[in-house]
Amino acid sequence: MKKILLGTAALLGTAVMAQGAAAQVTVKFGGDIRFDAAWVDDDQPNSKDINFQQEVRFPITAEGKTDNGLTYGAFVRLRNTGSNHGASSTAGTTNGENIYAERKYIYVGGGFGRLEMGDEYGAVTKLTGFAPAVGIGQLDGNYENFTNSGLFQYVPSNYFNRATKITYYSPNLAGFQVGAGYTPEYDQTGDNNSLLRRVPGTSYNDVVELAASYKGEFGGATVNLGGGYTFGDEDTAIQEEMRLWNVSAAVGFGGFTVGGTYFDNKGPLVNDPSPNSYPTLLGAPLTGEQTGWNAGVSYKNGPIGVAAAYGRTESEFTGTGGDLEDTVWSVGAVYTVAPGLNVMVDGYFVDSESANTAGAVIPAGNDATIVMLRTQLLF
Amino acid sequence: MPSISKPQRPTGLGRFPLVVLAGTALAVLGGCSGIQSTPEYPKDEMERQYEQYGSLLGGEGGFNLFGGPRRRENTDQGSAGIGVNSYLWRASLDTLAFMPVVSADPFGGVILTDWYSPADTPNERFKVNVYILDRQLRADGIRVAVFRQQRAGGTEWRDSAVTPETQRQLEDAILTRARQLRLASAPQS
Repeated sequence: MKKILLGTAALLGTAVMAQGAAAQVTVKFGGDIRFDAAWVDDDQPNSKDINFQQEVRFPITAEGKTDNGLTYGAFVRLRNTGSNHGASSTAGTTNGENIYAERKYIYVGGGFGRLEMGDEYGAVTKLTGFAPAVGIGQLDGNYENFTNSGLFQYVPSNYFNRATKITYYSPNLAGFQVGAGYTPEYDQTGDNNSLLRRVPGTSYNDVVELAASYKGEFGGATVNLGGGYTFGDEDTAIQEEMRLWNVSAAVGFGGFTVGGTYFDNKGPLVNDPSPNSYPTLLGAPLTGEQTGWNAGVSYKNGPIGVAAAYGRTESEFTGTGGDLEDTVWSVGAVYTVAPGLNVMVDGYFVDSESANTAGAVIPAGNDATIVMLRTQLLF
Repeated sequence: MPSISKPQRPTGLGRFPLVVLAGTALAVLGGCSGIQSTPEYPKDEMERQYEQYGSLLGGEGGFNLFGGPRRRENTDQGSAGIGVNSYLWRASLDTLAFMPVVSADPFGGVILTDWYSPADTPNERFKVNVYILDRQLRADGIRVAVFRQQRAGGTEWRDSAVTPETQRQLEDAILTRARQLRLASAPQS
């Protein structure tokens, strides 16, 4: 009997050895290039009627999976500067042509949840939404690059914050999912977080983000609910502390989606991930609180999508005229010509009370009508 | 405007454990209760774009710099081309790669090896038959029969007993390998 065991052990040993390593890492490289043409009619001085804009983004993903199902990987998105959500190019210079690593993070995921560590959007961004959009994005579109929409927002002001952070997401539990994140420095990305390089400014620190979402399906209708709360400490005493919250809902049925959001921003009002979080946009003091809502409807059918959305924000203002209201109406459409090739159009009607010309103490306001055409290529 | 002197709020050192605690509590909650837990996480904007608009290159967008299943394998992950489950089939061949194979029939799902003597036990030899019984990847979809002979002096061999445990262990090895192959080619989440 002993001999039998010995012999079979040798056989099994060889069998197991022959299997080799199975863990496999894949590295994927993609791209998204857009050409925008905009026609603008607004109240701003020296505005040009027609302008073009180009954006290019390259996502790189490296991902592996262990035998027991643990997923690990990294995501890096390279893009050119000058976008509304990235580092801004300075007017009159050519640094909109520079490529930089806009978002970069490492993730580990499995049955226990998922951890994301790096320069990436947080839990509020990923678990809550706003008015449904297609194509260029309507309220999420690029009108900010072509006219002054003042303090108008359609999301909480940390929505596009990609400061270095760590975020945990729970698995989806019967439709429910929660996320929690911690950002030590609200405005610092990359290796700027090193204590030697850290510049205490008029930003925020020790920011905590909590968010939850629910996704469900009831008799053919999909329901998406989300809520988020963010709080943090101000760097200097002249600032307001940071308190942001938002709720969002969307219901989908047979190609149609109806949805919207309500948010309350206290602290940073300007949705600008690269720094000036303290509202210095206006010459007169803002007390630093803003509320807003938006709603919209979209319809998608095969290669065609259309959407319309309305958004409104109200910002506290202690100067002449009191609180400032900003609204944006937008309609848009997308047509997918071939896989990876899209033509898109958006129309924006901006009515901003807070928009200002440089240096003025009392905002002059701005009315703008913009039509934007985009050709997008995805590979 | 806020006043200059403010009460101290808890700092980040105090808050970080709070976040971790909240996260852990939820993870534990999900683990113990009967609620179904799915490891699904919010998708990146780029992923959603690819899903909605596709890619010039076809597939799920982007191209593989290295690693990853080839496009062809991507499309027939099931059992197209062969009559039995492809993961079990490949796993069986992988696991028995160290033995000479006499016959391998992918339609009937039968793999027969020749006699093989492990180097450290030259006085005994083995032969293995593997039967793949199902098109689905399931634990009872594979059956292994192991034959063993011992040298009875000279060139004569005599049949000898094999523990059922050996056959089960070989089946386990094949199933483990099949699981690895399945995971490696599963769509990345």
